Amino acid sequence: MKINPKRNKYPSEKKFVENTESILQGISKNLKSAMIYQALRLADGTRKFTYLSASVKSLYGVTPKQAIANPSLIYNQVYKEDRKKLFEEEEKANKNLSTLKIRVRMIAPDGKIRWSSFISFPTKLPNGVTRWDGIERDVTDVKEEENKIESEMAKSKMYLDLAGVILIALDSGGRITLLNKRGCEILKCKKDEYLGKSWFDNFVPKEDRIRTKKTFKKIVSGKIEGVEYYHNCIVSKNGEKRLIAWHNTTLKDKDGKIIGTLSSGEDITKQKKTEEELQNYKTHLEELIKERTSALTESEKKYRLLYETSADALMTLEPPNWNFTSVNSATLKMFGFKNKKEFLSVSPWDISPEKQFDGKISKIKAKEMIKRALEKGNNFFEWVHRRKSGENFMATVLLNKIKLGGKDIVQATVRDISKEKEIADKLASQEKFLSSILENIPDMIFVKEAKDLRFQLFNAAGEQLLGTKREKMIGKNDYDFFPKEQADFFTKKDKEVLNSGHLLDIYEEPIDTPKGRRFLHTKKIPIWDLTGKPAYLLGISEDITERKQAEEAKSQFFSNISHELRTPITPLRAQLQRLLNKQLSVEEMKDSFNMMMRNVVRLDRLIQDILEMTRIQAGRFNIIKKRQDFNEIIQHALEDISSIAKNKNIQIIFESKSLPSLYFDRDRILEVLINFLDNAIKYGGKNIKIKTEVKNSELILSVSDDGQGISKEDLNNLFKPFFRAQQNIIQQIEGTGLGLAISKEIIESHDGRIWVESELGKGSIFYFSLPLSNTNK
Amino acid sequence: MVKEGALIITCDDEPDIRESVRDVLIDEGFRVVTAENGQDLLDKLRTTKPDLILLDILMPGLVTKEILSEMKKRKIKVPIIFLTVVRLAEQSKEILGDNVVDYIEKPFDNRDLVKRVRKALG
Repeated sequence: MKINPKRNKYPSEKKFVENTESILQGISKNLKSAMIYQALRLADGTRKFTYLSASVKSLYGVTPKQAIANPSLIYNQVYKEDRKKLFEEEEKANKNLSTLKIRVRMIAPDGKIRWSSFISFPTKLPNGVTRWDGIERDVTDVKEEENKIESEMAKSKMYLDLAGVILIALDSGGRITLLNKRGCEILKCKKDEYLGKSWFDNFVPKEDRIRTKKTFKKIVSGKIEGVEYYHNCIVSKNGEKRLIAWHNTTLKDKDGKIIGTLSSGEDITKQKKTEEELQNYKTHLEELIKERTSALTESEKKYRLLYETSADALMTLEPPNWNFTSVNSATLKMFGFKNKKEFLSVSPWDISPEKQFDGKISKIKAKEMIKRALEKGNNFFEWVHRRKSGENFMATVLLNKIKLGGKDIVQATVRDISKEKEIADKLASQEKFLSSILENIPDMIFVKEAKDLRFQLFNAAGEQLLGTKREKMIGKNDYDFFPKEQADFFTKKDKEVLNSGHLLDIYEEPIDTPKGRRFLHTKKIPIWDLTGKPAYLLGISEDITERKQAEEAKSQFFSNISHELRTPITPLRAQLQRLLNKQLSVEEMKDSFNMMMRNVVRLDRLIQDILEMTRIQAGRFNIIKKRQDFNEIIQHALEDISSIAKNKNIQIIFESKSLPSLYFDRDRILEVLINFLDNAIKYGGKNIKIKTEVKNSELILSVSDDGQGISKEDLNNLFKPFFRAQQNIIQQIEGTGLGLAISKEIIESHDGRIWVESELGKGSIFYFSLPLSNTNK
Repeated sequence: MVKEGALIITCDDEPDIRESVRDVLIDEGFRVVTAENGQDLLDKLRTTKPDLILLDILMPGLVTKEILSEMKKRKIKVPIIFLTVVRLAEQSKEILGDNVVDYIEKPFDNRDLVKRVRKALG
């Protein structure tokens, strides 16, 4: 092919001529507001105008000469945001050598905004230069009109979309020309997806397609009038069937020719379903009612029977006065009425005493109770009722609110609980009685759970014995309170009882309590449950500590007695044997008899002591008081003891004072004094002092010594019968353990006091006091 | 062979028992020194070398054990007969051995006492 190099050089020459023609047309159309221009775009992207028509003045307010000299005078008037768009489009057209068509906004130097339309044609020149031939028109008016239409359209589109109904326009061929947002939702399709496609082939169920198409054809051909309202099914894109209620109109052009249809539709699938369900439900209900009615008839018969045969009094009460309106036979029997008619004439408060057990007036309280039943639906309470005979009885009342004939009435069930109440009261008092026995028993009583041996019950004696409140004991076991060794023992015994099922008698078990070690005599007894298994362990423990101590003291006493008796008998027997078997001189015999005499006296005193103690224990202890001089017995005691004191090199000091005479048993008080002095000597006193003083209408006598003294522990027990100080036992000091016990009895039977002050290693002071006002009572 | 005039210390806190034991032994020709208590006995043992000691084992003051251990410390090897007023307690029997050769219960039979004393003197 022969190529015209000239043409090649200017490839768009022809086009330019054509374009120029069209430009001229444009000019002819709107010359005033159009500007013709020619510009060059250089390889480096700079632009310059080579021609500008005169209308540049009216558009830009500059002369062509000025604009050619300074192109930015034009470009700078392009709206800033649109300038970028303009250059981009220009760049694109430059590259493709395509026509640039663009609308941009311009800002005139006076601030006015106008719309300009550019149409420009590129021509490639050598050296990367492009020549642009173009026309610019002021299209502000056109743009405004367009905007108005656009906004109107957007509005109607919005209305269509906002409409809760489906809107579909079909052309005469049954193709979709409009489908709003709601329609898309129902049909599950995208906006515009089906525009121009057949409505019937896409959204009408297959089985309906032929029929509906035929009808549609008849409508659009004007052969028949469309049915304004009808229901039919559609199939959405995902195959879901929906029931739509349609409203149709035909669309006609201005000549009255039918060009299509417009249908608005409402999805009534749910509504339809609900209607169907309602219908089903109604049928079901009717059946149910039928069933129930027959059951009710049956049940009413039963109820009647129950009502009449019930042991509880049943009645109904009706507003406004809450009179009885029905009543069963049991009611008549309970309240002692002859017939129903008689009962129905009384009010609830007529069959109650004037006041209830809480002191409230029955009539007021009854109304309150009814009110509460109406509020809550029911009300259960205890009530004192009165029989016709006037006898009051305790009852429970259950009031139920029931609806009868559209109004709230009350049905009452009254149960006579006077017998139950009586039994309950009896039980309660019996329980109280039993628990008071339990609480007052001086022995510890406890109950443990068989399964874990935890304390379940604990009585007052137990609390006292262990010095622990029962709240702290219950739920715990032996290991929580006692040394392991003891807890092991208790647990072993508990298990023995539970395993054997027999009572176990533990004659003596030590137990450490906060009050020290105690000894218990415990009986453990298994308690069975209904199945015959041991459920609990009952323990009864007697505190035998004191008894044990007394027994030990007694056994010690007998051992002491034997020692004390043998001591005087030894010289008696030895001397008697000598007198019988040896040839003794008169002097020797005299000494021997003297010794025997002393020891016989000693024996006698010892026997007196034992007898006296026995008498004290038996409660036969006589005091014979006389008004007499007190100093006399001190003198007597000093004489009595002087030989022993002399033998032992002991000094006894007595500060004699004048004392008032007073009532006392001379021999007994002397016995006490001699006992005090005896002890002082026996326990190592070398300097003994007897002192008397009168103070607070008492005569106080004291015997102090510088002997070994008494330990703190022994001080407390010193005056107990048979008690002997620990120190004495270690040092094997003789004594019956009776002297001070007897002294105490003697002084106390004179309404006096006896006490001791002592410290181990520092001697002792024994005191007794006698009241001066003591008379011979 | 019992030597006549053997020296015996009798120790008892009860004066009448002490005297009676002494009387019975003197009647039999023994020489007798008396001691009132354990301390007295130990004191007298410093100056006296007895052939036999009759010791009451239930005396106040020093306990029998202390007397025996003190004697052992001082290496005094004299036979001892316990005099006891109670039926002999187990504890006393335990002490038998060493120098303790016998025990006599009070009240005693004079002949029995003498017989045992002679035996102890061997």
